[in-house]
Amino acid sequence: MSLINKIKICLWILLLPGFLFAQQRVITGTVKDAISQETLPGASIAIKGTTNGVVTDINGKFSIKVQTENTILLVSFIGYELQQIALDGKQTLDILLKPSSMNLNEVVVIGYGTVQKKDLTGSVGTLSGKDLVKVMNSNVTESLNGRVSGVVVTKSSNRPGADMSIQIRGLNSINFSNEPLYVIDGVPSYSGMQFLNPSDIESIDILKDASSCAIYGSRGSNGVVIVTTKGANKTKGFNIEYSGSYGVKTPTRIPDMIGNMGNGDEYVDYRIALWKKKYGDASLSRSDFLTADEKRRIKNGEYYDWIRELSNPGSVTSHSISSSGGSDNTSYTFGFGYLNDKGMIGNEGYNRITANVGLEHRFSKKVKTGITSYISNNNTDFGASDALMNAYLIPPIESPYDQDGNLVFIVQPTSSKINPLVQIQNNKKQEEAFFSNFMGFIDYAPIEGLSLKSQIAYQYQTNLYGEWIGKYTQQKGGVNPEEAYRSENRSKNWVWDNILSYKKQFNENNKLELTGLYSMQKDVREGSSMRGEGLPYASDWHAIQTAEKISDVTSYYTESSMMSYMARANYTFSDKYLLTFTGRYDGTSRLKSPNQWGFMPSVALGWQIKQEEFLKSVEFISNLKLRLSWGKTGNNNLTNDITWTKLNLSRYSFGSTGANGFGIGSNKGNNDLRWEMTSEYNAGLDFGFFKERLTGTLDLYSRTTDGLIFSRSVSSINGYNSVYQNIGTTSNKGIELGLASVNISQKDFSWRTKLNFSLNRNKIIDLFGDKTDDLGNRWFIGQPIQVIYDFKQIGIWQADEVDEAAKYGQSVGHIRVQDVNEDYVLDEKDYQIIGSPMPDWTAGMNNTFNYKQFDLSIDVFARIGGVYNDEFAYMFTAWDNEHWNKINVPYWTAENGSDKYQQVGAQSYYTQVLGKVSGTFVKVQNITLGYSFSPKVLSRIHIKDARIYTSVQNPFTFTDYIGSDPEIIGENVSTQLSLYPMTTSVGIKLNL
Amino acid sequence: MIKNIKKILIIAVAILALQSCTDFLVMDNPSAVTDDFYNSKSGQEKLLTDIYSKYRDVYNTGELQYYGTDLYMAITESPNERMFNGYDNSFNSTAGVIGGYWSNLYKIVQESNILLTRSQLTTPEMNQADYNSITAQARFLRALGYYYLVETFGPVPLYTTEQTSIITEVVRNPEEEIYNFMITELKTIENSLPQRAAEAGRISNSAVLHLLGKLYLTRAYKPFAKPTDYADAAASFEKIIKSTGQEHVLLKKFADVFNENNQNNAEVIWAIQYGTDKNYVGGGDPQQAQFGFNNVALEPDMFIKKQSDYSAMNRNYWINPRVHELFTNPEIDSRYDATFLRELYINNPDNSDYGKLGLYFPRWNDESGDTKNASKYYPFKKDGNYLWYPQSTALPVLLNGSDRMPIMNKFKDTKMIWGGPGSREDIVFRLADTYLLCAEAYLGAGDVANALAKVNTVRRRAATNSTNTAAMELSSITLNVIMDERGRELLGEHDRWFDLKRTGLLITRTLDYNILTAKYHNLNANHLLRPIPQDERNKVKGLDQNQGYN
Repeated sequence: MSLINKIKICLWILLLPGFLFAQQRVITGTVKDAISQETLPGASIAIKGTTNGVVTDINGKFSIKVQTENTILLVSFIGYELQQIALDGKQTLDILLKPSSMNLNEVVVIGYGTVQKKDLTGSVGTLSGKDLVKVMNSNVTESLNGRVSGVVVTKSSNRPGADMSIQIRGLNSINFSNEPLYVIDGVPSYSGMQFLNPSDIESIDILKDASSCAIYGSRGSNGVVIVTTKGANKTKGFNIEYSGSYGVKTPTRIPDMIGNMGNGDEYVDYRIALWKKKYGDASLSRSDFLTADEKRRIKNGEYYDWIRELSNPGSVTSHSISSSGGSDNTSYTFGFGYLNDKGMIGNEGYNRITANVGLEHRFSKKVKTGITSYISNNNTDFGASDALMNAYLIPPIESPYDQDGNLVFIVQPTSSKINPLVQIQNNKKQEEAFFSNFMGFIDYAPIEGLSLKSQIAYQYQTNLYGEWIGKYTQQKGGVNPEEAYRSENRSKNWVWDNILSYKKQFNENNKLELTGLYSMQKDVREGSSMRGEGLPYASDWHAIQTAEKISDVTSYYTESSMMSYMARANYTFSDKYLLTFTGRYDGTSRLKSPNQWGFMPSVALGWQIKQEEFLKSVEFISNLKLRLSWGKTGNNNLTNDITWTKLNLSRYSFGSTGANGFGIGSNKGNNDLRWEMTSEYNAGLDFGFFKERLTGTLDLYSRTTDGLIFSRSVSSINGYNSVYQNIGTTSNKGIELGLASVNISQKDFSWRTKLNFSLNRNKIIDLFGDKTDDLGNRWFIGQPIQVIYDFKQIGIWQADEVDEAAKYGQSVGHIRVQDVNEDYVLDEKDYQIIGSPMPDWTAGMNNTFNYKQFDLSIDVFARIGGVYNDEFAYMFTAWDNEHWNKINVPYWTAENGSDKYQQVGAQSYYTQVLGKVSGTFVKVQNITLGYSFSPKVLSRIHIKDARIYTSVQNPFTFTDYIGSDPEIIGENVSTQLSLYPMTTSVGIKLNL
Repeated sequence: MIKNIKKILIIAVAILALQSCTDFLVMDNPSAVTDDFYNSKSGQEKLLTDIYSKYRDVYNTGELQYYGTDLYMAITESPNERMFNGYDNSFNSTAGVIGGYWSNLYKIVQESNILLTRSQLTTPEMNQADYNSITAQARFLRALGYYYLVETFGPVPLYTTEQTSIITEVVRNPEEEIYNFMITELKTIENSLPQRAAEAGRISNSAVLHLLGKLYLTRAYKPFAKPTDYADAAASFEKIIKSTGQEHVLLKKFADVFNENNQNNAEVIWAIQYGTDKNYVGGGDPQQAQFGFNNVALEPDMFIKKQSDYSAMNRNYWINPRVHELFTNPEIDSRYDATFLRELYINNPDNSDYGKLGLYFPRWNDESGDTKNASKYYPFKKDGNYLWYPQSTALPVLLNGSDRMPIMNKFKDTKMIWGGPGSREDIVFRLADTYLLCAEAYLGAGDVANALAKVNTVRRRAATNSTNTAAMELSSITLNVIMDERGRELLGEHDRWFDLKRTGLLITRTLDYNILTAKYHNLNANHLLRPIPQDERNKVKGLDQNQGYN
């Protein structure tokens, strides 16, 4: 007998002694799909309040022994709504399960409380923990892409542990973060979700419209992401869940460099063309045209594909184990997670260890208390600077090895490039980040319907970043002394929320729910850093005091605080008409008195149209609800000391004596700053057709942000460059659509589709009150906040345009840009708006197929439109360094007459146009094939559920982008450059 | 029920009581300091230091001092180089360099204005001597900022006090008004600072007089010149040369002036400071790396990265080969060999010829063909064409350039790390320059004898030894001769473009010497002013563009 089983029996004995003395009887029955009437094998039937349970056989039939005729059965099946069935003396049962898409009793977290989905008046997107685990992203944030409408996730890089950011319903603020507020178990968090183990997450609820976000008042204007971890809910009994997976990452879509994959002659041809064009034919006899070694390799056809030499398959390993359970008075949850994500270049990697504990104790019906804690330790190895960059730049005619097979340091003596394989050994960049979140509450319900909850949460976060730059690195060139850098930061954040809630049903038709809040919050951040140069021995960043020169010593401390009052009223009349009022009054230390306080109200209406008599008889409509809302939110994503005119520390030297100076900063502060406020109208329709075979949600919104805190660029005649002011108005309008359909639902086979679509249009309505553009800041009335304003390429000067080109001082083969005013001078007057780095629309589609015990799911994500500025595309097509390599695209020649890329070596003007690239792509994000073992087999080995699966991430990408991954267009090439992984995994999930 | 209500009340009251802690919403940020700090003496001293530090960038903007002149040329035809060197028709107000230059100068001006507005004798802890010193330095630095603004951009907005509201509309004050302001300011502070600064890098009375003389001299050429300008200029320069304490003297040997172990010597009047302390060196002095070629990259078999031997040259500015011919008699003019490194010895231990001569550039007039057994020999000319040109397809004559030239050796810096920030002082004013400016002033005033005397003093010092001092002397003088002499004496030092502009020789000399400028053949009188940065024009009203630019 397994240990688990022993424990189970012990618990059973401890908790449920009463049943031992009861009389037994046998109940039989069948479980069917409520719509298709197909029988459901594998559905579980449990006796409420016990751990006893059985599952249905292949014909959907079951039999179970019960003690009394008052027993209640819990019938559940993945993808279906849970049903409770009271026996009432019945012996045989015919149970119909509704697919969970019909589940209107689903609970949605709305901030300081929850609401049943049917009573929801705002616009909230929800992603369940199950979905997160299924897609297996190391960073939870990435899972939102294509799964929740209105949400756009931006990845900074494909390196393990890279940052991600989220935008909900477009950009509101011009100068400040548009990142939503994250609330993790009640604590506003500033570090997003990357520290969380997806397996620990119960649900993610994304508040999108202002009426929902108004509950978070001054922090709500960018939307709110509420993360609920698996706290101690009232699960009785004992549960253990394990999931683990292992995946292999291989680089995919490696950009096509000239002469890669052994085709080095192509590079030699390019090199000759470049030198001839740039320096003339005679230059080919120069000693630095090709060194003796290079000539030898060309002669022998000895070529190296540097990116493929440098990259190796990476791997992702994850293990999570969690257990939960409890008794009548106490419940608990415990979880432990491990993730190790190894990158494809050098030591790049990320590993995360998480542990969480939740405990709730109910003293009586009136008083309960509980704690939740979450701890996460994250180690990121950023790999080496320059390694991948060098691999792109070094041409195939260089070798990483000398004649004896040892790694050489300087692989291309004629340029400054050193061997990336050496670089990755000598440059270390590592970060250890620790994140913890503790929350404790006491809840007192003196009378029925009234509850007072006081909750204190504390978040503590530290990180230590260290960097070691050895002598044999690109930075040190093999001659300069070793360098180490260390920085430490920590932040402390506490929130005290006091929540009063009152629920009352006055008669059958009137329901009232009131919530009141008084909250205080304080956030402190501090840290320090230092750099040492000339270190006597390899000490990483742990002995900076031994350095010959210590520099860049910094320290900082900054804090901010907030006080808030909030009230919300939900009123429901006859289950048809829903009304929500919210008001929040926030005070912040970031602004100066008397502008510290801001009031943010909202109102929302819901109408369950299906409940009306006239629709009750319309059969094909199974659900129809209209939602209308208006609300106001603020943006608190300001720097703590935004009102201050801060001085800049500068350094100078008089003779050999160093001197510190303080100059005026580039930004002038402003004591009169007020809240920037966003108001939003939202109209939503929730619908279900054909007995919920097709369900969906449609939202239309229009939001306007007023009194934007602009960092307004001013003439440098002022001595500073910008000043903060409340000016300007921006707007975002958009459509969000979510659809779910059950396409096929048969006994052995089902096919379901989920689709979401988002479209957002962002524009500046006014800036300074006079509807004039601000050219200095590149802000244009009627255009999006971020635009790319530059020359527009209209081709390449062709041979028959030689005279016209000459009028611009240009030659054939140069990039041709549009001369807008046709004055034959190309200057800023010829700039135009090329586009905006925001997609026209995004869409995600998920198809799930179930055949017997197999399940197959395919996720597709599309981002259409948008023009982005991409350093990678620019650098590797525009640069004509005489020794380095570039991307293999059709550069202009007299023969090909390319109208996109300039002639090699032509020293063209306006090469910046090559960095403006389209952001359109369609990706198959994930394909997963799973197999769930039959409960019959499992019950013999005392396992409740078991599923094995294999999946592949990023198998197909369709795009014109010439870099590796279109999703990271704009990646910082000097610090973030990464390869695009395709991950093939196998995994298992067990439920004991 | 009543008990419950009581409880609720107690809790509610407790909560409301908390509201009184309004202190809770006060932010603390001890890491930052605001501009109130400038009301203290310490703050004013720190602000002054900041203004000094901003001058590093003024002198690091080589595009506006070297390109498009007779002595230096661009290496490639890339857009930025072509704009400033070629004055081609793509040169317009969006060139990034001018925006940064403008901003930095106005920051200097406005910081000086803040300092001069805030600094009062009533400032706590202030005494008369410190007040005089702080304000005199700030006035000098502000005037110098305006000098570069007005010479670069022509009429510019003139502000002389702290601005408390945002400037959104301006007028371009006439050049004459700005000159009057600068000269008055410097006259006000004359004799309020020590003749030679006790601390290297500080403004001294000599620096004040040098700039004052230069301002008179510059104005002397302008339409609004005062008749006494040349004489006033000469008088101002003479006050430095003839100062009773002889605080500044010409060193005995030209090479000693640039000895890196003899920085801030008696000949140096004002130099921008860097130093070897990594905390204060900033981006470093780039001068050591700008005029040469990277021999280590070009000949990796011969040379290794060893800072004591060679610098990592980034060859930003190519010395026009004709400049060598300006040194008419390099055998007796010590400046030629002190300025150029022509013999590069192999320092790569892996090379079988280690320690032997690797690259050899003979003196320009050495036509003996003696290769000195160097591995590679690059004579001045080949088949009648200069060989010391960059290789490029821009002009046929460049196709056969060697892409190598003698390396500028004046600024050699062995105390820095390879490719790192240069640590040497960056000389802005030195006494030999004072002599040559003084000669120019005498010449302008019609006093040829004194003009010759001043130039010959500098030339005699340059003689390789005492036997040929007489041979170094000139017997006749013109403005062009003085510009030649400045080329020899001050090669690689600052402001060639400004000198050419002042003397009205920019167009003729540049078109004569600089083959790339000549190729585009677009240089005209409009180019005596640079374009006003478009970005600035977008942000304020009233900033009209200079003629000839869009």
